[in-house]
Amino acid sequence: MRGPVWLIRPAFLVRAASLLVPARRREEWMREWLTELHYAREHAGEARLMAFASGAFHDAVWQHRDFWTLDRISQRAQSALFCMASIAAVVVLIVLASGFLPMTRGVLMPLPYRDAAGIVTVAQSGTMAMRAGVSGQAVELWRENSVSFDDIATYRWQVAPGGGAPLSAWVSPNFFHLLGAKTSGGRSFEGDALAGCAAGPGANPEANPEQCVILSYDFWRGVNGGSRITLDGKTYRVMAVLDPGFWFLSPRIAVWRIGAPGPAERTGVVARVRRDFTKKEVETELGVILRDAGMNEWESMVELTGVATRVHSALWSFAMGLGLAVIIILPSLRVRMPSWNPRAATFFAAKTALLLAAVLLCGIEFTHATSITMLGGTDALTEPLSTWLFMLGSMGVLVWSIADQRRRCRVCLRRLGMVAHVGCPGCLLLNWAGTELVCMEGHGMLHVPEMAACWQEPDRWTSLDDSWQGLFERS
Amino acid sequence: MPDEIKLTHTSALILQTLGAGYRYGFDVMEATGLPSGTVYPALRRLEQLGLIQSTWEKESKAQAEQRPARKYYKLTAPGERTLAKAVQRYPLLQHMKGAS
Repeated sequence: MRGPVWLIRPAFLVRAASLLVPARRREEWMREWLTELHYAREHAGEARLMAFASGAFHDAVWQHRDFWTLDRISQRAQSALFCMASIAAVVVLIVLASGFLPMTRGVLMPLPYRDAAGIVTVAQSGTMAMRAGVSGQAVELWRENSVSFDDIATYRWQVAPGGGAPLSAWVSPNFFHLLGAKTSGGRSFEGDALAGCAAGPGANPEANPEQCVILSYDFWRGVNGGSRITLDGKTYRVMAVLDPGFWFLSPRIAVWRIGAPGPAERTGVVARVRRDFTKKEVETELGVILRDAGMNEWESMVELTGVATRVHSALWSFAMGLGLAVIIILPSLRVRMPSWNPRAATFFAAKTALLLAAVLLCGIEFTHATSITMLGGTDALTEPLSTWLFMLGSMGVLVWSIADQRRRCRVCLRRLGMVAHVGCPGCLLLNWAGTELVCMEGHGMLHVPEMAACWQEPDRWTSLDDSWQGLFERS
Repeated sequence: MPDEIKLTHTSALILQTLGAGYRYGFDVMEATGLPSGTVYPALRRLEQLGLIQSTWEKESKAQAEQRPARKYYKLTAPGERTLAKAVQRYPLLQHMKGAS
């Protein structure tokens, strides 16, 4: 088959190599090489001509040796493009460090449960007490007396005592069946398939001599896919391996053990609501059941939240943080932002959006916000931390973004340089005192007063016309 | 420019080639047998050091002969002095033949 012939022509090689040459030198560099190629063609065969043209790459790379001086690098670092590239690199770093955003994908993709719209989490004593979980006694009362649930299951999670992986969770035998989870190996979760497998703290060891676990697909692959596994010095039978896409609470949970909570233990509760019941009706019914059993008003306050809502609340948490940050920053935004032009506005919007995306991804991936919002029974500090991280991060982004914008040239958007302090700071009444910054391309000068006064603009931009260009020419 | 520039043998060879009357990159390649990826970067470096000077041929002259104008290199005065010292350091350079 005949390939694209133009790709292996010497002139094409020279033109391709010219892309590596700094733009300022490119025209003359290419002119010389194409001329030399013209003369080389008269004296050399096609094969030698190709070797000759290949040398253009070496020459092109060499051009950078003296081109990228420290001075020039610092000039490049002032450009808007460099700023955008740096922020984009941070975002890419977050994506790589998190292992391609497992949490974020969990938030944005459809949940891996059968009919997820009908699945709810249940909080006792109001949502503020959600993290404290629901007592095992209340769960048993609801299981026995409620007519509004198809099924009700419990879950708790913990990090291994040594602090190392794997992360494990305790769930009731009907947990996976309730969610409609699929297996990629071992038993299915139909009916009471896992009832004899309980190994949790509330389980009777004599009733279940065969302790077993359910593993996440990735963890199972990581331990070479055996049918038995040793954890904390004990050997467990691998009862089932979950479908690769399955997650609940956190994609990092590797080991699922079966065990119902004791009556006094607090646990997270997940339930499937019957279609003909509204959320309000179910909440009322569950509250009545608890009151009838002798629990007080506070303990009988029940609140249901859809699992999908809980998962997406990580995004709401970010939106709330961003909203608060904007409210706090807004008063200074009007005063401090430079006058708008479409290019500057686009740069500001893109820069801020990328930075906010970085904060959002950091918040979701590294504080495990999605797990927390679905949870009963984790440490109470983590959820506020993620919300605070969002808010402080958003504020930091907005403050930096505005400050950066103010210190950029209104024409070329480069960072201003050659900082000079002008005037006498103690003579503010009669004289102007402040800092002056200059665009290194000679587009203008920014005057920043030492102290903001109500009778003067905070920053004043003076455009420099072409007659100043001689001062800014570079070799 | 430093008082004394120590050239590599390759750079000295290229300088000697230019001193011998070869005037442009491909010419230097043909005379020395060095590849283009060595000759052209060396020419840039020598020019940066002020040892050679490049000039573009006049367009009118090249057009009259129906060919593109080419870039010529020639030794500068410091280049000639440096070459003289390089020849002492690398005696074999003396055997370079001049361009016809």
